[in-house]
Amino acid sequence: MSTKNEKVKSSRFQEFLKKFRKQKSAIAALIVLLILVFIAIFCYQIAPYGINEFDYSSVLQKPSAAHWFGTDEFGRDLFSRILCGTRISLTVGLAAVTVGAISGTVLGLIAGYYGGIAESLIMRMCDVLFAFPGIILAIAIIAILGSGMTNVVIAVAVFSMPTFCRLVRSTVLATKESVYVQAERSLGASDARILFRHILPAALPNIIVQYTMSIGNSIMTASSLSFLGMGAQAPTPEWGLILSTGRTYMVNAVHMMLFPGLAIFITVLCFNLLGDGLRDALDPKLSE
Amino acid sequence: MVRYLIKKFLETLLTLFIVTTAVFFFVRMIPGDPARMIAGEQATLEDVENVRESLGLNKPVPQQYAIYISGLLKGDLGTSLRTKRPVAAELSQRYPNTIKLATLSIAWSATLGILIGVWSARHRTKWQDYLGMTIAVSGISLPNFWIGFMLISLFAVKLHLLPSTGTAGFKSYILPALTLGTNIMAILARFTRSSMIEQLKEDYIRTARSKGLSETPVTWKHAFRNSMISVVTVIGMQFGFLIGGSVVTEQVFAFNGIGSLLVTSVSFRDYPAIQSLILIFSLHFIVINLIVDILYAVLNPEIQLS
Amino acid sequence: MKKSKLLALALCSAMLLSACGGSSGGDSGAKTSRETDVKAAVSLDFTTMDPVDTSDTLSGGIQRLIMDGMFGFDDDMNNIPMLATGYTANDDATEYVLTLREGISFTDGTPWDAAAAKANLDKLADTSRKLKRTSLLGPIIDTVEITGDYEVTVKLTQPFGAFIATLAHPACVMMSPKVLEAGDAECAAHPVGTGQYKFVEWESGHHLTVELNPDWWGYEAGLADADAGFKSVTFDVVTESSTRVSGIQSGDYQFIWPVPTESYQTLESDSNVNVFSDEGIVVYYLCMNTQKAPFNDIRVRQAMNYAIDKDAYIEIIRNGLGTKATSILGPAVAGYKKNEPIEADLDKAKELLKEAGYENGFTITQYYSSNSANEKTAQFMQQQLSQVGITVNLVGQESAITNALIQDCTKPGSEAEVDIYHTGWSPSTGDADWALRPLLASEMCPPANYNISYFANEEYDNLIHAALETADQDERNKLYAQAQDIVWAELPIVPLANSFNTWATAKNMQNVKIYKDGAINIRNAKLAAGE
Repeated sequence: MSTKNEKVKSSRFQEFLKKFRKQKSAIAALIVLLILVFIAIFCYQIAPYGINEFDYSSVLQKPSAAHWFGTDEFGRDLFSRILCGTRISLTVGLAAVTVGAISGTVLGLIAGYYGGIAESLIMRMCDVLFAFPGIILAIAIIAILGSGMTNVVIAVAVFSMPTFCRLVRSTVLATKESVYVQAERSLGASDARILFRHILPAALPNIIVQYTMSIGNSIMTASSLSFLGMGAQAPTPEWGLILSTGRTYMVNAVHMMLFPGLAIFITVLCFNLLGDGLRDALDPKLSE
Repeated sequence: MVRYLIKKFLETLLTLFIVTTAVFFFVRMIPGDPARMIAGEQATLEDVENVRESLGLNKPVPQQYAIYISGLLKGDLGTSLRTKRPVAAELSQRYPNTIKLATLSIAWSATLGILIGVWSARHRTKWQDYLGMTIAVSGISLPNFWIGFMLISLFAVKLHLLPSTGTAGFKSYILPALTLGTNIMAILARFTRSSMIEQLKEDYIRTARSKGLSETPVTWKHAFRNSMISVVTVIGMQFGFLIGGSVVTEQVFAFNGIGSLLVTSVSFRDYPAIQSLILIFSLHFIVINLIVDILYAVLNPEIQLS
Repeated sequence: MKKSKLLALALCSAMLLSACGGSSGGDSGAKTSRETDVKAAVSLDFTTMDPVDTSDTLSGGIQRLIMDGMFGFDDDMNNIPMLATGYTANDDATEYVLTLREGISFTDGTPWDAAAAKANLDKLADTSRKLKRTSLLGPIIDTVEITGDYEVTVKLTQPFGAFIATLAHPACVMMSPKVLEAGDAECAAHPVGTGQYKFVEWESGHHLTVELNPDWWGYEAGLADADAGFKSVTFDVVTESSTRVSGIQSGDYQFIWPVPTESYQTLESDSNVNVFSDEGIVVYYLCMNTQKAPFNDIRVRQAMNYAIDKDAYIEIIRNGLGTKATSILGPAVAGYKKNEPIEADLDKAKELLKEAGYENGFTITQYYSSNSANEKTAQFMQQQLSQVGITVNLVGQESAITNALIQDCTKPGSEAEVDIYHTGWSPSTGDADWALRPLLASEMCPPANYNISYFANEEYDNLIHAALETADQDERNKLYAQAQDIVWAELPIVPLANSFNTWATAKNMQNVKIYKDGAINIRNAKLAAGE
């Protein structure tokens, strides 16, 4: 029985790999993301200047050979700062969404599958969490815990959680009553088996789409929090913080907004492309 | 159906009560003193104490809660600590602005998003698909306030075509609505495409096709109708997010809505205003969810209203 | 100055002669100022229209358009009589007789007379009202008596030499007794004064509109040119500073303030915009907690003063718009005494630290309210102090949290969290007292008020209290000069810069000004001739 299962598993994985290889844009995105991860690890070695190297004689310089992305309001090299910001943004995005996705999925499965009091409680909690606009929830959490990136992660995780919860629950509701699951159940399959062999895989594509979107979203929420003065602490080279500082110089030094904006854009773009590729490759219904 | 609605209504009331109570105590847990904020950073202690007394903040918290709840039952939202005017008056000036902005944003973004999604799904892996998804993926990857500032610097500063601020006339809604809707348009395009692709693979579509139905009715009558279930969910969720999420956009455009009022109220620790705003936000969300639930049932008769 | 007054008088009489001439200026079809609706953008929301309940410069400035005080300021912030024409005081500054201007009415028709003055002064004196500015004169005014149709006598509970200066404070503008009777809520929402403009409407968070009062007494009194003033002025609340800048560039606004100093140069090069700057009365400085190590050592405080480069501060933080601070007061404030700024000298700073036993530096925390300006300043301080081995940890938080931590701290100075704190102060009475006392008098340590340096110097306290006990301005100036010398010797602060007010107008606007205290001054504003 178990060997058969494993065989099914490994063949599924091979099938996934085969399909994933066909997703050219996803593979390109994956390569870029790997480069970003490499940058995130070795940023301090790669960066041409120190991230806190002040030079009052060259503030707000336009991009040049010496400073590829120009300089900021203290004459610091923007390219170096954005390179080093990669680590922060990737960490925040991944950590927050992973926490949110896992807890949301588990709760969604329970709510959708078991119904009853559990469902009422969980969905009521989601309603209450939803009732707070995400950014306000984040503000409140940070206000209580104090500012700083760890609390940004917690805040973003908390408000991305109910989205996963609902999404999973609605898939569960749709698949629970499907002929296939009904048949499994009448054959005496356990709840765990139904949940993890049938319902979760059915929900997975949606979870993955939401997950990739949420990473982008959470990087952007972090920057919004910086915009409102609740995010990363100066002089951290967090992209959102650089961008929100740059808004002061929008009129005379557009590069201050342009490059961190582009950095966020490219990163989020890659996560989304990768997610799309994964989704297409994972979809069990995709087999012709 | 009637029983279902009654049950939902009672649930709604319960959620609202929980939210109201939670928020009441929650805002008072956040460090920071409204009396100090209202008296001013450089006010003397005497001033601060005077303000505290005049605002009734020196009363014990349970008493304040009782006053708040009994006021609420009479339809009184209380008085703003910051402006000393009734919260209801503050809201009635700004609420319609935010609703107009949100509706405008969701209108253009849902229409365009769904069209792009369906179009991409129909022409899967063709250039139309790539174009559509490039637009969608770009739209989703841009920070909101960045879009806002770029739009301002282009349309207001460089071209002088549109006003950069205000709530006067349709023209002043264009840039904020574009900013606010971009993400949602992209999200909806992606989501519509995914569910359409899923639906187009379903057996009943094959059956329909094999019966010789042409592609357009298959797309719209069958696949689209069924994908609408999840699409409607997402639109509902997004609309709720939008009203709350307009906080940043309203700030960028100095837009006089409830989002910017919330930011101001939070920074002043204006408890009655925060409480009322959250109440409104949650009411929105709950109503939207109720509508989504009912639409679920209408669109997919397989799900019974229990 | 005097010339323009004469001119104004001449114009005034010319206008009176052509009494109902009406459209005499409308020859070319171009609109005159008084036919023009003007839009302005300001950076903050208005808080209230009740002067006694106002603590912000912006709301106070708008109120000064609608209501006049008994005393006020000219363009250079000198105290001038407005609704009063003069005063006499007894020698120990406990009794003041105020003579009022005759023949003036509030815009609701109520006459300005001794009864109206008493109603307003009584409100200022009423400590039970618990308004934000109740503490300004509440504890000081004892009784107000009507001693003539146009004369009131004010008895004080204590000698208070700054009484006339305080009457020029924006909180002391006069409101129609009818509105006062209607209660505080009415005062907050529908102010009526004797001013150049009349209140029209206020949509909280969005805009406030005033319209011209062509019968304003100030035209006759020579406070403004006869053709000055706009049909109406609408002040839009535009908190995002780059949006404000683009608003004046795109022509949405004819007047914005403040101009973010970062965008000053950009606006200078814009041919459609006039941009202005003028030294204000706000002084920026860095508090050091003098009761807590290491700042309880004068050598460390000196070292801090040598370590921070004021030129760099002005260049980087103020974007070149500022002058080095020469006191804890701005030069325009009555009682100001100039001292020499301390030039940056890193070697001297290091030497002093070594002497004090901090050869290897030390670590401190700087709290600030998160916004991009404070963030920039904090990073600048961190970098400057790192040069002499001082490590600064930055903690930026919401202003409510920072305020709770800094101003509402109930612990004694030696246990307070604050090490250093960057701030600026605007003595809104235009008098030395309202800076030297709240900022550095020992009884004003938090939570009482704003002595964040926890400076406690008996000699200093005695000097500023003595200055309050006389109405003789020369004597007061002398005492305040000595007090300022003590500040320079003891260095409880690092004086940084005198602020500049910055504003911008459309090219065709004239005489739009900002008072030294940062409030708007459009008394003489109009469209430029030939436009």
